[in-house]
Formats: sequence, structure tokens, C-alpha cells
Amino acid sequence: MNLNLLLLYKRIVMFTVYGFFIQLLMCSILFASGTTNAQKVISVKEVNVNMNIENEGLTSVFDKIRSSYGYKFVYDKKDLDRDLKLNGQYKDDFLYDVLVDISKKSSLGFRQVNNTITVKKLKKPMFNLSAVPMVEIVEDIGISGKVTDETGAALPGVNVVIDGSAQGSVTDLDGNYKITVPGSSTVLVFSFVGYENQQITVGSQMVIDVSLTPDVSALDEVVVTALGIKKAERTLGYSVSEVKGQEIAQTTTVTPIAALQGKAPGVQINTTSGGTYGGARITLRGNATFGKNTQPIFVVDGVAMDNDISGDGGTDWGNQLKNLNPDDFESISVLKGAAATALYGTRALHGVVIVTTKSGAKRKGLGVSFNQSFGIRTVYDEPAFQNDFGYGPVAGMFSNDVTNGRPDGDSHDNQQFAYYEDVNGTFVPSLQHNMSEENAASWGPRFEGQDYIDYDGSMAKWVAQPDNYKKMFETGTIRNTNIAIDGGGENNTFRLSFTNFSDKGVQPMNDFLKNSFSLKGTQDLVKNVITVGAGMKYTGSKMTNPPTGTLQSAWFHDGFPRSYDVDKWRNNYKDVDGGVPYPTGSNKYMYTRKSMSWFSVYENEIERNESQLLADVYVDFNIAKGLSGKINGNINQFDYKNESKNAGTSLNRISNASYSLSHGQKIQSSYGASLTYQKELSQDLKFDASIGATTWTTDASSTGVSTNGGLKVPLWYNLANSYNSVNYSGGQGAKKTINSTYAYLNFDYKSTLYLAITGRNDWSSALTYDTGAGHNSFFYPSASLSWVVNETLAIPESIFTKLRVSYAHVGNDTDPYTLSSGFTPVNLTEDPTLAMYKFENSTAISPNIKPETKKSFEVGLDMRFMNGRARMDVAYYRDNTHDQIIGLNVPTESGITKQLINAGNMQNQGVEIMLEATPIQTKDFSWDMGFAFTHNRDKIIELYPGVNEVLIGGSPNDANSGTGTFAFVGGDYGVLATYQGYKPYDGTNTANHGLPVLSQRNNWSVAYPNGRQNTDSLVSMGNIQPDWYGAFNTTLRYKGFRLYALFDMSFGGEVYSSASRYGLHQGVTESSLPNRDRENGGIVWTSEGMGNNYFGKEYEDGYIPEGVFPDGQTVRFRDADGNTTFRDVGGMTYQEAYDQGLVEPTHWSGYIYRWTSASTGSPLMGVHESNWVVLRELTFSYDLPGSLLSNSFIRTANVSLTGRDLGFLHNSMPDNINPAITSNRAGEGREMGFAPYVRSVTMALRFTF
Amino acid sequence: MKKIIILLLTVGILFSCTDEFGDINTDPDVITDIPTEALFTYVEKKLGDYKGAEWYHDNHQIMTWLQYVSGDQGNANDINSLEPRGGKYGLLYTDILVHLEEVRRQISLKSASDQEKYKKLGAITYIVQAFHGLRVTDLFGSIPYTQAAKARIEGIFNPDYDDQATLFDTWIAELDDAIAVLDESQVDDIDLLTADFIYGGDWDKWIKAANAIKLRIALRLESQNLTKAQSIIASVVSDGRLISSMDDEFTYNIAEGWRGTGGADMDWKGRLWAAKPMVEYMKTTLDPRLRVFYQPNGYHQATLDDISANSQTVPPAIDVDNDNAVLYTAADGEDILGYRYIGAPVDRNDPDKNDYSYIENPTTVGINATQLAKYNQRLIMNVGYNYGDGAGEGTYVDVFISYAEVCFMMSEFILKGYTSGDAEDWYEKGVRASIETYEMIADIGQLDYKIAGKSYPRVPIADSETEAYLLTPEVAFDGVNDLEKVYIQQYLNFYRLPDEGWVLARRTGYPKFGSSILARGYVNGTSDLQYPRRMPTPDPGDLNRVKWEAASAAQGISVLLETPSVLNTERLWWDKNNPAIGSGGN
Repeated sequence: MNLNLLLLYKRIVMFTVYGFFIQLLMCSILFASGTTNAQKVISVKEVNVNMNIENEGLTSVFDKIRSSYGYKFVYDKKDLDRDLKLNGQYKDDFLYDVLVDISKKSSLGFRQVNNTITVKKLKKPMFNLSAVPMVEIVEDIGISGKVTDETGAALPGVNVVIDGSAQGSVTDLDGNYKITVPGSSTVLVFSFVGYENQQITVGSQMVIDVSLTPDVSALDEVVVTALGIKKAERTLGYSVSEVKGQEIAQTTTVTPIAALQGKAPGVQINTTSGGTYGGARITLRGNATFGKNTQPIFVVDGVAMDNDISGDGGTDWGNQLKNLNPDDFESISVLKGAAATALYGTRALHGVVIVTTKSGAKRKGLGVSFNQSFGIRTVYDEPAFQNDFGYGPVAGMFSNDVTNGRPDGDSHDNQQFAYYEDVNGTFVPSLQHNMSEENAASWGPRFEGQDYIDYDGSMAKWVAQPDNYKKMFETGTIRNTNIAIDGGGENNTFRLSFTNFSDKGVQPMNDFLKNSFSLKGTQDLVKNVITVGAGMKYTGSKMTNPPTGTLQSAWFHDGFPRSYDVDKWRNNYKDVDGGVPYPTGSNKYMYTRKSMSWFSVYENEIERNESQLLADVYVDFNIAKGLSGKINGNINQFDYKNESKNAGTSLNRISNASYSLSHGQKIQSSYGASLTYQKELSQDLKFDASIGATTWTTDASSTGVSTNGGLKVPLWYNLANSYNSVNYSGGQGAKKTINSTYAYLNFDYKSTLYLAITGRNDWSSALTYDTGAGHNSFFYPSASLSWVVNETLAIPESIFTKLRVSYAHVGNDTDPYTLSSGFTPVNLTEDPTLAMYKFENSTAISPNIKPETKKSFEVGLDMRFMNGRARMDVAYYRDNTHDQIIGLNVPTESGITKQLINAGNMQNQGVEIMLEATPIQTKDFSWDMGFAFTHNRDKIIELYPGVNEVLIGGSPNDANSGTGTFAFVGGDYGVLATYQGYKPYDGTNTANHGLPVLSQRNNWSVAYPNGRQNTDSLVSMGNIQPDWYGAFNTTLRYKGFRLYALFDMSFGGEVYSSASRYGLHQGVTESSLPNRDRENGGIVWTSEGMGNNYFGKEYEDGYIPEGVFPDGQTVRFRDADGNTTFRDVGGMTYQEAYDQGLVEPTHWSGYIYRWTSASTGSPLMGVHESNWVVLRELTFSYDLPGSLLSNSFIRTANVSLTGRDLGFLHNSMPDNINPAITSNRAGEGREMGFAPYVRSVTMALRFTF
Repeated sequence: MKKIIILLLTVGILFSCTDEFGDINTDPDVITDIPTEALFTYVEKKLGDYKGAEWYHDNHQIMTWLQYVSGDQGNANDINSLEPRGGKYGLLYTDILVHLEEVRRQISLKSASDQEKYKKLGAITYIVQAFHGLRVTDLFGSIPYTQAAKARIEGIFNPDYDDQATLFDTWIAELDDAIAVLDESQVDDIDLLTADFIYGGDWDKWIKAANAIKLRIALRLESQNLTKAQSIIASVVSDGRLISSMDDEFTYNIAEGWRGTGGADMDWKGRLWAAKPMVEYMKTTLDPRLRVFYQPNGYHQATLDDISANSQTVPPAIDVDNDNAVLYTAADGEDILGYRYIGAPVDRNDPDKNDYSYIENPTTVGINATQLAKYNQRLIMNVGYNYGDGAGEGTYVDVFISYAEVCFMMSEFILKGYTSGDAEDWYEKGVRASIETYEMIADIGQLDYKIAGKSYPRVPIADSETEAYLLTPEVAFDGVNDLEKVYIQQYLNFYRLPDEGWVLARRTGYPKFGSSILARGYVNGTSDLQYPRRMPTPDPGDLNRVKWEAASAAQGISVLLETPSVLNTERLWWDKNNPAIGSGGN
């Protein structure tokens, strides 16, 4: 059956494509026509004729009519039959009848446009149906006019539609419109959001000016809802946020998600450090499940696109959404609650974002639009660095060997150079041959312009490099060119668009290039009966060298110190002997910092090509009055190719060089059919209903091949060049089929009360066991009610009030193969013949897995005051997701680590508030503003009996971050917790209970609270859920000028920042300055030889840590003679021990280094409350006035300047740290690789012709 | 129009078709039908290859407590803390038991004739799980066993904890049953061949291993239930099938080029050296295993020449003039003299401490030369350890139950009167077997080392060395301190099985302080630290915490309290009546 549908689908696509080309030719002929005449127009049906025709030729008759009645005939002589002689007597007949007679005899058609009658030869009819008239007489009247509002100001964008048809026009920026109507009896309908519709019969007018009056009770904005159905907002029992395509296009972001930031309440966007095309995280009304992907799907013209997780380990290539082309977007509808999405079935659990692309319109001539934008991206800000001290490890880390370290006695001083003994036996400060592995550390000497030997042996001055972080980046450039042509004739519409987009990232060698084509059209096969439509969108994109963490994070972890000269080393990363100076190799200058990173940026080539085809085709049938049907099919084919050329860093450039090539494909297709019936039961009660069915399939596969053991010949990137036989990976990917049937029923009572009921049943292969059994069928209903209160209660018209309430279930299945289990082979390299198998994983699957269900309740109030000048929309929602399919953590003693079960009740509830106001509105000047506020709380109401918490992101055992995000049953979701909190003291000295237990490192002479002492209990550090987030926007408009600003904000909620933690660890941020030396408030003391301090030496970086020594703790002292004693300080705070003279101050650098380190420290030092306000967008645009363009072929022209991500007005993170997180997976509350502060400024020119 | 409606209805019905869903949702990357014995092979592999964390974490600490090695500066004061938990525990459940349960389940589903054929495979699964279960209870006490790893089959998420008395009884019964099945004569046995790479499907050797495990259990029962211990010993002796050659040893050897995980370092918490008491004993007795266990320091002639050329002095701990007996001769003819093996003191207040004060910063004269002898990095840490001129090329062998161990157990039982026989003979067989086994490990592992720029190819152990060793007073079974000598030899034999060494130290209190043979050193002058005698039991998580807490309480163990003194005083059941470590009380 699928095969048949596929064939049908192919045929329709072919047909449609050919149709478009024919269409194109026709339309271009029509392009030149269309002059207007100021005369009155009289229809040929209204002109009385008294005329005799006797054996006259056609031209003679035409002349007669012209001279008597003023109509001019336009014809091609070759169309006229010269031999034809006409006869006829007319008395008080209409001219129309004369023309009909002529037409019957001559097979000519006549078309009246004002006072011109165009003559053309009639074609043979396509279908020999009796309904098609043999005579084509059409009278067209060109109408123009201007539409103004109640103040007399021009109203642009007003819809002018011929009543009873889909044909229409729109007013331009000056409120002017032109339209051709088929006769004087035509009724024109003028409609505009917030205004009452006005209907005007054309009659004999050729200029019709209209003044619209506001109508606050209308609320007839039409929004796109589930399955692409357009509905008036007043009828909806749930909230839908719609964003105009133009607003998205204007932002020139790669992923449309980023562009949605701040545009609608309930939509939370987190930027990540994935770079230009990396993922941004979007959630609608919180997280419905514990799963890692809680993002909505995107449905583009009915084609669903995966919104995958990216950047969750490894390279962040972003996901499919980056291949969308915002220039084609007409609108974006955000469906948040289950009632809004119920018709989408299982894939809609996390919400749906519907993208509707632009279509051609039935119009005269062609519409051509051309947009061009140019922009730049810059790294505009950086963390707050200290610029006082350069490279050097913390106190206690240097060895005393002067060849590589320091003279004896200096090893506990963190402000000494490393020394090198030159040929003269002189010790000179030197970084060459430096043996320390802590290379980013900036605990070294103060910058005073000293001379020192640099990594490569050259001499250099010891000065700060304040901008070395920013200098790593380049200025990015953005270029976007879009050209679109659209048009439509009597029976068809089309739109063709091409976009070329390039974005050179701020990281060197990082590029993104995209070419998008789209073609969309409709054709009436049988007018008013059968219409076919199709759309194809193809995007080819190419990404090179995605941002690597090593550069982005270079400044704080295993990176470079404050003395690192980026300009010097970015072009000097190769060893003189070849390869890269490598810390453990024998190359010439071993410890050049970041040489490996520069090498990989400039020498390696990593490239990915993606191509994505979205195609959809449909056939609409008007079966009978009120009854229509639709058959549709669509396909989403995604292919990628990855190629990676890794230059060997070794001397010979072959041993660790590699090449890999991989390909993958994912095809998703969907076929469906539906029937819709509409009926007016009485004056007051209307309803429409629909039933439908779809089948959706996804299938994927991939193969990857890579060289193994290096290359044979250097720099030849080819699989045949593999040293050992190649490695391969990949295979069949996940397969899934979902079959569905659905139905809906909408009632409209007196246009004040609207009830919508939906139901859908899905059958999912993913809920089927390999035996074929399984609860794979699930049904979910929804009901929503909208009540326009005004009309029921006597509320003044100026206060429009609408109440809405909805309740819905949405079901969800699971990932393919989740229910499939078995064994997997374990290969022993040493003996490949040894057969070993183990369980595929340590998860056992319960035998009765059933679908997840989200139950969603929403109530909302929409009020508009002062004739719509102020608006308030409040929504409260509560979603409960039951029976989640989760891998329950079970005790390993049971033989497994997880059991797949249905469990739980997870609740999201929240409030969304939207306020809009137009304080000023005059003819020339207006001021609008809006504010969106969202408060959302996710919570686990219940889970599995006895289970208290769930890990939803990160890991408290992660070696680097030590941070996991947890949900506690009955408690909070999103708690950042670690096993590496400090241990509270509970020893013999009860006075000090509760203070952190200190670890004493005698050989470092430091004490610090140890993050590894208390590995049994989770310590909560914060919560990733903000208290609220929101956005404020404001628009000022003066004549054609427009200034728009969008501020985006989030308050409450914590982030774990590795940059903050390790920046402190390495002494590069400003926060590392206090206590560093005398000047920075460090305690100055002369050592008695505590730990490894040198007896009698003066130190100035003293600090008294807060905390208690554990019972039995001893601290070592060594006197001038080297004799060692131990002092017992157990149970005392450091301060107490210090006051009693038992310990010396601890070294600040050692303290902060240890307390932030991955091996002994705690992530506590990286967790901070993240409050921020960002100026997300600022746009200044100017529409050239119509008067300037009236004598040109340009219809509209607009120039705009848009700034994105312009800066933080407020950022609560310390050291000016960017709070952007690492990945777009749910529960991610960690920044694991610093995102640069990137802003873009784009100039765009938009023309329509 | 009717046609369209019919079409739509047909489509609707077709769309709800789910016939192929089972096939669609079958993961092509997993296999459901596999040879049952291949699961057993996997379990055997897991017995040995989980070790990365073990030497990195557990051995690092346990070997320090046992004074096989010593930390720098005479042991820092946190040497008796317990940070890691090792990997044995989780391994028992998610790798060993769960797959052995599956082996037995699959056998139970086979045809009657195949069930008969696979019967002995089923039997040896119990030997493997008793072997590893014992290793786990030695560390953790009461553990889930009888109900464990049954989530897949019976859906038990919260298995009961079995106390040690129950565990021992269960294992003895299971081992006896296994031996009985292995003794049956079956015409059509499955031939495991390489699927059992430990014994190659030799049922007789599996019986010997089962008996050895029974003896290990008897040792642990000795201080709690001597009667039962003796009856186990009696049953093993009457059965008589004991490991009687290296060929019978329970050996893990599948030619893997590594031991544990590469990249990690046993010295992660500070450098570890050969411990002074053990080095002194081995030097005195010319124990041939010295060069297998430890590497010499870097003071070969070139280093000494360099020191004098630079007018520096040799550190006082290196007594070139007096400590110069020939310990053995290197492959190139260089005599390795006494001062080449200097162990780190275990006493952090060693009277000669200042002689060792350089330990933290080994002198580098010319070539980086450490002054102390280090543990043999390829034997203990990683057989592929890179000494700076390439990784080792030998492969890794682990002898989990050695012939020597069985000999020493028999000698001990005879000396204690639990059974009859020739204690001296068993003892001497044990010493020879232990040396022979280490020689085998060294040979297969190609345990060469490179010290201070000089390569030292492996020198095989000659029989004459072993025989001479047996004659030294500290070794000779001569009626003086014979039992202690048996303990000392067990202690030496367990150098590469530190868990068993830890069991010995807990059970016997040997090596003891002040011994004339091999004395344990105090860590702090005349006082020792309180060493942990168990590992903190892992929190099973929410679903079984109640039973875990109850089981812990029943053993008298506090949960989540992991100070050394708690881990020392709150002992496991079999350890409750045992002497203090180093007291020699038993």
C-alpha cells in the first residue's frame, strides 16, 4: 500500500513541477499589462445597443462598436477569421449579448478591462465537461484606492478580497491598493486586524477609498493551528503564539530557534556554546519528561522535522533545523499546551512549532522580492581577567631543579620565575623547557616588563596580554541573498525562492554555507473541485571546522596564561623540525602553549555537508457542499557526509595523522488522507468536523570509515593511505512507523462560544516487542472551550474579554528498539576467534510497557482595553505526564542497573502573562510595547515506590564538572548537586561542628576543604530553573522609520560554570587576585618551616581558610636544621590553630587551586545564580515612501540595520562569565566550554517589484 | 464520491495495521540466539579484565597497609584512609552473576539431551561465582547472593542480604553439588575447549579449584566456627583432588597486553616505593623473587661516576661501602649489590628519617636516578608500562589460585592439627611453587625494566637460587617459628593478590611487629595506625536501602561512616575474633 501511495506521490510531484514551468511562461506574458484609466467604467452588460450588422467582417463590427460606444478592441489579426461574415439585428440589447453572439460564431473570447476589450482565440477546452462554457466573456474592472484608519492615517497591509473568492490584494505602505474585479456587481471586502470588515459593491466606481473603524470585539486574527488549519484566534480554547516570518528572517541567525528568543511567553531558549550552527535549546512550558530531549518538533508545511540534541559530547554540528530558510517563512506558530497539539499525536508531547512558508497569491503579474543582507560578527566582550600576574604555577608546585624550575627555597613562592641556567652559569627567567603541566596557570610573577626566554628560546618582555582571549577570534561575516518570485493565475499559484547564506564564524576557519531552493504551488485541476498543491524545499549546507572546546576554553583550563602572546604563537605553532611541539615529545621547544590547538585549527580540515529535501504534495477535493477531502504525502530526506582530515602532529606527520569519511541518511515520510464536513445547523449553531488517517515512517543508516594507525604517506588524505586496515563503523539506524487516525469536531455557538473536540489514535512500532506483542495503540482526546464574554454579558465594547479553558491528553511512545533486547559480541583483539557475548546492556525491559500520557489543563483570559490599545493575556497551565517510560535505577545487586518501566507523575505548572500597549498612536507616530513573563516549575509528584531522585542531566561523578542535575520526588526538578561538597565536621570538638573539614597537604603547605571527603551524600548547589524569564519589546514608528528593541531576561536559577571554577583554579580571573600578595591583602609572615615552606623565608600570600582540621590532624614543621616535628591541630578551626601559633597562614594560590581542582576540589566554586538581561535585538528600519517609488518599477523598498545579542545589561555571573550552557539536552545546567560573547550587526535591503 | 469515502475508510483500516511492527522494532545490532558457553567465556574474561580501577585504587592503598610498598616520606598520615571501593563488587552482579544466571536459564530451556550435555557447564558456573563471591564478601561482609542478579528472570530489585555464615554455607553446598555433578560420567559432554580459557573444559581441574575455594572458606571460618572449618578441611582432604602443579592453577591468561587500564598511574596519590621491611627480608634471604617484585634504584656505576664527577655526595641511606653483598647478577654481568635495593621506611618517624628526607625529591645527577627501589611497574601496574623506550611486549597473567597457596594452606592446617600430613613437605613445595609461578609470570610478562638510563633484561630464576633460599634460617622449616614462616611465605606469595594478603593480615596478625624473620614496621615510632579491615559497603540506592541498613546493623556496621577507626573496629563477621594487624596474635 505504501508503494502505491509513493507512486501516486511521484506522479503528482512530476505533474506539479511541469505545471509550474508552464505557469511561469504564462505569467511573464501578463506581466506588462495593467494601466488605469480615470474614466467611469460601464460594464458591457449595462450598455444598451441598437445596431444592425449585415454581412460584415469582424474588424468592421469592432470599429462600429468602438465609434458608437467608446470601447476599444485589442486583438491579434491572425486570430481573426477573415472570411467570417456576421449578421445580426440588435435593439435595446446589451452589448454583452452582441459579444456573445460574435463569440459563438467566431470562437473568440472577450475580456473587458475598463473600456478596453481584449480579443483572443478560445482554446479547446481541457475537459469536455458541460459545465465549461464555450464562450468566455469576462469583464475586469481595475479598481484602486486608499485605506485609512479612523484617524485618517494610511493602513498598510489591509486585505482587500473579492467576496466569495480567494482573490485579493493588500494595501501597500501608503495604504494604497489596486485590484482587478470581474464586473461592477463585485463586492470588495476590506479586512484588517482589529478593525471591522467593510464591504463595498464596486458599481461604477474606479477609485474606492475606504476608512476602517476599529473593532475590539472582533479578535479575528487568524492563526495557524494543528495540522496547519487556520483559525480565528477568538475561537481557540488554548493559547497560540504566532511570530511573523519577517521577524525571524531579520535576525539572520543560523537556527530559527535562536531567533524565537523573547518572542513569546512560555518559550524558553537557552543559547549554548555550540558556535555558529550549534544547537540552541528550546522548551515550551518546561520539561514534560526526564528524557534528554524535551524540545518541540518543528513542522514545516506539514513536514515534521526532528529537533535533535546536539553538542552533548563531541562536535556540535547543530541539528536539521539549521537547514531551514527563514526568508521563506510566512509565520511561526508555537503550540504549547496539549490541547493545541493533540492532533499531532505522539511526537507532540513537548509541543509543536509550526512553520508556514510563503505561498504565491492569485494576482496580476509577478511578485518579485529581493533581500540582501550583510553583517559582521564580533567577539565583543571577554571574562574579567586579571592582568597583573603572568604564567606560573601555584605555591608548592615548582620543583627546585633550576634547569627547569626554581632555585632552592623559592618553590613555595608563587611569584617567582622559572629559571634556566645559561652557558655562563647565570640563571635567567625562562619558559623554555618548562616542565610544569599546569600551563594556563597565571600564579606567576607580576608584570614589570622583565626580560625572559620564551618557549622557543627567543627573548621576550614580561608584560600582560590583556586581549589575548579576544585576539584568538576573528571578525565573522554574514551574507544572505534571497530572491523570490511568486504569482498566480486563475487556476494556480506558485512561489519560487532561492537563498544563499554564508556565515563565517568568529573562530578561525569556521564557516557555514547554505543554499536553499524552494518551490511551492497549487493548481486547480477542476476549478472549485480538485486542487493539487506541492512544495519542495531543498537545502545544501556545508560546515567547516566546528568550534573546538580547546580554543574556546583556552584561557581557563589547560590553556594559556595571561602572559601568552596570541599574535606571536598563532602563526608559530609548528616545531622547526616539523610536527607540533608536544609536551612529551623530543621536539625543539616543548611547552609552547596551545600549539596543538593552533595546529588543529589551521592544519586540520573537518567538513560536513548536509542536504535536506522536504517535499510535500496534496490533493484537495470539494466533494459536495460542505464536504471536502484531502490526500497528502510528504517526505523529509536528510543526508550528510562528514570528512575529517587530521594532520599528524608528530615529526613525521604520519603516525598520528588520520582521515575519516562517513555518510548517513535519514528518511522520514508521511502519507495521509482526511475528510472534512462543515454545516450550519441553524442561525446560531455551526459545526465542522473531520476524520483522517496518516502513516509516518522513519528509517536511517550510516557508514563511516577511518584510517587506522596513522597514514603511510604524509598529507595524502585517502582511505587507501591507511597504515593498518581501516576501521569502520555505522550500520542500520533506528526504524519506526506510527499509524494514526484522528478526528475533530468544532462547534460555534452564536460566534461567542466555541467548543473544539479532538481525538487521535496512534499505533507505534516503538511500543511493540520483537515478538509483535505490546501496548502499541493509544488514544488521546482533547476538548477546549472559548467564550467571548462581551457578547454574553453586557460588557462595554471597549473592553474585549475572552475566557478560554482546555483539557487534553497527549500520548507518547519511546525510541525505536527501546523494547528490543538481546546480546552483543565482545571482541578480544588478542584472539579474534574467541566468541564472547554479553547482554547488550544492563537494562532489563518490563514486559508491559505502555505509552506515556500527558494530561494538560489550561485556562486563560484575554482582555483588551481602550479599543485594543492595551492588552493583557494571562494563562495558567498545569501539565502532568504520567507513566513515563524510564530506565529506573535499580540496585546493581539485582544484576542490572536499570529497569525500563512506566512510572511517575511529572508536573509542570506555570503562568504566562503577556502585556501589550500602544501608548501613542497618531497618523505619523506610534509607540508600541510588549512584555512577556513566564514562571514555570517542573516537579515530580511521584515516581516508583521507594525511589527518591532521578538524575536528569550531567553527572555528579563527571571527572571534570562533578555536577549532576537531579529531580527529587516530591521536591524540585533541576537541582544541581554533587558528591564533591565539603564534609561538615562532626568530630570530638562539638563547638566546631558543621564547619567544613580541612585537608592539610604538608608537602604543599596548604589546607583546603576537600571536595572528595564526603562522597556519600549529594550536596545541593542550586537549581537550574529560573524563577521567571521574560522579554520586553518596544517599537517606535515615525512615518517610514521604525526602531525596534527586544530585551530578553531570566532571573533566579543557577548555572555551573567551569570557566568560573577553573579560571579561579588557574589564577586568570580577577577573583583570583585577593590575598595573592601584600598589595592584594595577603598576610605577610616569616615561615617556621610549616609543611614544605622554607624556614626563615618571608611569604606574602597568606590566607586563613574557613574550616576545621579533622581529629588527629598533624601539621609538619621543619626547623632550620631540617629536623621534623608534627603539631596536632585536630578539631581546631584554621583560625584557632593560627591564633594559637600552631599553623602559619596557608598559601592563597594553593588553597584556591586545590579547592577548585577536579581531583580534590568542589564544583561549588563554579555554581552561581544566573540573572541576566540581554539586549537581544535592536532594529532600525526605513521604508521608502511610495511617493518616491511611484515612478520606478520598485513596489516597496526597505532598508534595515539589525543588531543581535548586543550585550548584557545585567549579568550576575562573577568575572563577567558568559552563562551560556554546553548542550541543548534537558537538565543541562553546566557550562563546560566557554562560549565567547558574540554579537552580530546586519544591514539588510529588501525590495519587492 | 462514494469511491473516495470507501478509499478513505480502506486507508484508515490499513493504517491501523500493526503486523510488521515486531520486525520494524527489532534492533539489528543485537542478537538473541547465541551459543550459551560464549556467555561463560565472557564471565571468565571479566574475572580478570576489570582491573584498571583495582591497581589504581585498591592495590595502591592495600599494598601500602600491607607494607608491600610504602609512600613517600615514610607514609603520609592519610595512608589508612579509604577512598576507593574497587570494581569487584559491581562486577559480581552486573557481569558475573547475571550472565551465569543466564547460562543456567538457557540450559534449562534446552532439550532434555542438550540439558544433559550442558550439565557440567552449569555446574562450573557455581565454582566461578563462589570464587568471586568470596573475594567480594572479604571486603564487604553481608552481601546479596541467593536472591541477587535475578532482576531479569524473577524481577527482584531488592535482593536480601546474606550474612557471611549463610554465604559460606551456601557456597560449600553449591561447591559440593558442583563437584558431584562434575563427577558424574556423561557420554556426551559439551567440550568447552577455548570457551573455557581457564581450564579448557577439564572438569577435574575445576574440581581442584572448587576444593581450593572450600579451603579458603575454611580459613575464614576458623575463628568463628572451628568445627565447621575442620569438617570442610576434612572433606577436601578425603576428596584428595587438590591443585598439585602449576598446570592446575586457576590462571587467567588470554595473552592480553595490559593489566588494567593504560594511562592511569598507581602513584596518583604520591610516589610509592618498595617498603623497607620487605626489602630487608628479601635481601637477607636472597629471595629470588626480589628482582621480580622490585626494581633496583638508579645507583649503578654510571650514576656513582656522575656523582663523583660533580663533586656531590652519595646520600647516607645508600651505604656503598658496607651494603654491598651481591643480590643477583644482571643479564649483562653487572652484580646488583645491596645498596641497589633501598626500601622506603614505613615509619614516618623512622630514626634514620633524615637519611631518607630526600625521598620527596630524588636527586637527579645527570640521568634522573631515584635512590629508592620501586615496585616492578610491569608486574604490578601495567605489563605494557613504558620505561621511556617503548612499552613492554609481554602479556599479562594473573594466577587467582596458585598451587603454592594450596600448599601453604595444607601446611598451616597440619601445623595447627586440623588434619594430618607432612607440614614441612607442603611448605617446601609451596615455596618452590610460589617462586616457579612468579618466574612464569615474569617470563610471559617479559618483565624487563630500565633504570636510570640502563636496561635490565629479565634474569630467569635458577633452581639453585630457590634451593639456597630454602636453606636460609629465615626460611628453613626447622622447628623454629615454623607457623610464622608459613605465614610469611603466604604473605610473600600474595604480593600480587593483595586482597588475599589483606585477609592473611587480618586473620593471623602476621607479619608481626618485632619479628626476627620479617617484621612489620610501626608507622609512627612505636604505634601503628588503625587500618581499615573492610571496605565501606556500597549504598544500593533507594530501592534496597532498608535491607542494606538492616544488614549493616546486624553486622554491627555503621553505614556511610568511613573513618579508618570505624572501618577498623566495626569488623566483618569472619574477622570479629581475629587479632590486630601486626600483633601476630593467632
